[in-house]
Amino acid sequence: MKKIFSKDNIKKFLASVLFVAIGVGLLGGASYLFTPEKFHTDTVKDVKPYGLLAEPDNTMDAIIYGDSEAFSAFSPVQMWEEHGFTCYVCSSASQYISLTESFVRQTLEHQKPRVVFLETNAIYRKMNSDDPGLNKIEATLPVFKYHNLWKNIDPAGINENENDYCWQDDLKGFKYIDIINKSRHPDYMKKTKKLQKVPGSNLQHVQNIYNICKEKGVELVLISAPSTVNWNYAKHNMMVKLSKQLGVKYIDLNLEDSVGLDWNHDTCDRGDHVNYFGATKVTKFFGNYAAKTFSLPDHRGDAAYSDWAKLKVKYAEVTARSKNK
Amino acid sequence: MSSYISITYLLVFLPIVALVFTLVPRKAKPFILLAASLVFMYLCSHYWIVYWVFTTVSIFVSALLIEKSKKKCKEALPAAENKEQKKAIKKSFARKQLLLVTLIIVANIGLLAVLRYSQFFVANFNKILQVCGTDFQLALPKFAACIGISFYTLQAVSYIHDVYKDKIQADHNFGRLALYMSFFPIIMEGPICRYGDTAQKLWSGDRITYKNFTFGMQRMAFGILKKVVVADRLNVIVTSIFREYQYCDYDGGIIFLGAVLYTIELYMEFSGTIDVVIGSGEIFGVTIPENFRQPFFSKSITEFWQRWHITLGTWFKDYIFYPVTMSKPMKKLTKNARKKLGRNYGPMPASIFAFGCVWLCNGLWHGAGWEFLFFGFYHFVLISLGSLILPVSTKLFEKWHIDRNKLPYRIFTILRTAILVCIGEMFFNSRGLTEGMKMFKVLVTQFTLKSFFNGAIFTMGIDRFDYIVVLAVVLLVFAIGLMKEKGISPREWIAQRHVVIRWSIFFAMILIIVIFGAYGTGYIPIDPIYANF
Repeated sequence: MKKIFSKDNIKKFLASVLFVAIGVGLLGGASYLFTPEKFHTDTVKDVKPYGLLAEPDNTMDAIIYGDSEAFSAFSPVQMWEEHGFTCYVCSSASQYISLTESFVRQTLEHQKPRVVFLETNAIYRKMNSDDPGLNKIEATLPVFKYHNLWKNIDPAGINENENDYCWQDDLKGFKYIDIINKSRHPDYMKKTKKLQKVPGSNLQHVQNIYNICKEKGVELVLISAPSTVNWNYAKHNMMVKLSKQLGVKYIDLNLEDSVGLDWNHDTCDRGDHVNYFGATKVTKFFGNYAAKTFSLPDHRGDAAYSDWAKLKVKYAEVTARSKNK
Repeated sequence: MSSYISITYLLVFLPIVALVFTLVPRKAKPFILLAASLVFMYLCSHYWIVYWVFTTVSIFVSALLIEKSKKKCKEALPAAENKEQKKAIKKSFARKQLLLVTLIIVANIGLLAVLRYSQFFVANFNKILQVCGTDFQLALPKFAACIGISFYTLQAVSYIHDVYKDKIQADHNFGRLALYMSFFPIIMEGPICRYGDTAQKLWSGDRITYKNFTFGMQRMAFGILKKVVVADRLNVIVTSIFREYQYCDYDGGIIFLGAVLYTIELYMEFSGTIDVVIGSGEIFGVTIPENFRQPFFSKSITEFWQRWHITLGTWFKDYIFYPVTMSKPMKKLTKNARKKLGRNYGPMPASIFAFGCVWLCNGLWHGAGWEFLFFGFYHFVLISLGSLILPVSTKLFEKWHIDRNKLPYRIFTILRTAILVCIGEMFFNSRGLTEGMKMFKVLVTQFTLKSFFNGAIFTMGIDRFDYIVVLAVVLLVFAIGLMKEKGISPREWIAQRHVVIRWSIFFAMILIIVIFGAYGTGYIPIDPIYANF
C-alpha cells in the first residue's frame, strides 16, 4: 500500500488528472469556437445541411433528409417556383443514418414542417462500430462534429448576433451539378421478390426518426431517389415492408416512369446520382406529388416569404450555364 | 473492429484491456493479453479464427516433435559403433525432421495460398481456357480468411524453421506460443515478429509503467496524426484520380500527382497504423520491431526496402533469399559463374535468381493480381539493374571525380529513389495491370504541369487549405525523420523539455488531430491498406 501511495505516484496521478482536465478544457473552448452559429461561410465542405439551422424558425413546409441522393435530386427553389411551398434538403455526402437521426432531432427543434421525407439510400449505408460512439462524443464536444469548418472561421464574427453570421444556402440544400456521364445500367429495376436486408442497427435509427417525428406531430414519408447504381428491386421490397411496419407512406421514384428520366443524359456519374437535368424532372414530379398529397401551402405573394422570391433570380443565375448543354 | 485507429479500439478495447491488465496479479497478466487477443481476433474474424487455431496447433505440436526427434537422435548416437553409423543415424533423424518441417510449412503456406490466391489462379485458368476456345469455365472459389493470416502464417513459418535450425527452443507453453501468434496490436497489419524477440517479453507479465504508458500514448498520437490528418484527407483525391482518370481526361501531371499523393497516403496510413501498434505494445512493456526507418531518406531502391516494411524484407531475406542462395544448385552456379565472370559478377546469377524468388513472393504477398506481380517484378528489375551497374558506375564516378557523399548528389539520389518508388506505387494502386500501364502511358506521353497552374488540382476533392495541412504534417514528419536520422529520439528530446513546453506540444498535437483530422461528414476514412493481408 505504501508503494502505491508514494509521493511520486501521487504526483504522477495529479499530473495526469490536470493533463486530462486541461485537454477537455481546450476541446470545450474549441467546441465553443466551432459551433455553426459563431461563423458564416459559403464554401465549406458539406455545410449545406447545417444551413437549415440558419433558416428562420417554423418557415419550412417540408424537409427532405438523406445523403447525396437527396441533395442531387430535389431542388427546393424549383418547388417554390412551381408550387410556392418551402422545402429544405438537409443532406450531406455519404451520410450515415445515425447522423440523419441527429439532424432530424436538431432541426425539428426549430422547424415544424407538415411533412418530413427520408431518402432511403442512407438506410442502406453500413455504419462501422465507431459511429454511435462518435455521435456521443460529438454531442458532448461539438468540435468533433464541426471541426471541418476550420477553413471558414471568422474570428470577427464571434460574439456577434448569431443570425447575422449564420450561413444560409441559396439553393436550400440542393447541389447543382450539370455534368453528363451516362449510366451503363438503365435496366436496374429488375423485378424480384427478394428483400435486401438493412445492415446493422440502421433500422433502429429509422425507428428513432419515426418516433421523433411522431412526438413533434410531423408526418414521415420514405422516398427513394432514382439511382441505377445504388437502388434495386430487393431494396424497394424491403422499404415497402418497412413503410408498412411503421405505417408511413413510401414513394419509389425509381419505379415512376412518368418522371421521364433519360439515363443517357440525366446523370452526372454513370447513374449514381441524377444531374441538374435529372433533378429538374424529379423535382417536377415530386413537387406535384408533395403539394397535392400533403396540401402544402402556396406562399408566393406572401410578404413574409419575400426572401424566397428573390432566390428565383439567383437560381436562374446559377443554372444558366446548363442551357447550352 | 475494422482498424486500430478507431474509437472502438482506442477508447473502448485498449483502455479496458489496459485496466484489467493493471488490476490482475502478475501471473494472470499474460492470460489477460491472450484472452484479449483471442477476443480481438474473434471480433474481426468470427468463426474463421479456426484457421489460426489450425496453424498455431500445427506448429506447436510439430516443434515439440522436432525437439523430441533431436533428443532421440542425441540419445541414439552413443550406441553407434563407428562414424559411419553415427552419420547414418543423424541422417535418418534429420530426414524425418526435414520431412515434418516441410509438411507443416507446405500445409500452412498451402492454406494461405488456397484462401488468398485460388480465385486469382482459377480466373487465369479460365482465361487460358477461353483463349483455347473452350466454353468450359471453373466457378470462382470464394473463401473467407482469418484476420492477419498473411502475417501470422509468416510468423508461424519463422518459428518452426528456427526450431528446426536450432536457433530457438520449441515452446512447451501453448499459451505463450498462442500469444506470440495472436498478440492483438500486431495481428491486423503486422509487423511480422520473431519468436526469439517477442514471445518471452509478451509472457513476462511486467506491469505497466508510467514511462511506457506515456511514451506509448505519444507514439500512438503521432500515428493517429499521420493517418487521420494526412492519409484520410488524401483518400478523396487519390480515389478520384485512380478510379476516375479514364473518364476525366487527366493529363500526365495529374497522374504523377496521384502517384505521389498515393505514396504519401500509403506511407502515412501504414506507418501511422504501425505507430499505433508499436505504441500499444509499448504500453504493455513489449518492444514490437520497427517496420519503417525513414524510407524516403533512401538513396537507392535496395536501401528503400531496408527501410520500408522492414520486417517483411528481413523475413524474405532470412527464409527465402539465404536458403535459395545457399542451396546446392546455387552454390554450384556461383562456383561456375566465378570462373567465367570473375569475382565481381560471379555471385550475381545466383543472387539475381534468389532475388527473383524474393520479389515473386513479395508481389504475391501484396495481393492476388497481375499488378502486384508486376509491382514485385518492377522492384526486382530496379534492384538487379542497380547491382549490375554498380561496379561500372563506381569506376565512372572515380574517373569523373564525383564525390557521392556531397549533399547535392545525395539529394539527387534521394529524389530519384522517391520518384521510382512513386511510379511503382502507381501500379500497385491501379485497378489491374492494364489500367496501370495506361496510366503510365499517360504519365509519360502527356506530361504537363498545366493542371498545377490553372487550379485544376484544387477541384478534385481537396482545396488549397487541404494541401497546406498535408504539406505542414509532411514537413513535421520529415523533421522528426531528420531527428531520428541524426540519432535523436524525438520522445526523449520532448521528455527533457520543461513541462510547459512538453504539454504545449502534446496539446497542440491533440488539437491538430481533432480540428484538422479528415473525419466525420464528407470524409470516408481510408481502409487499413494492409489489414486484409
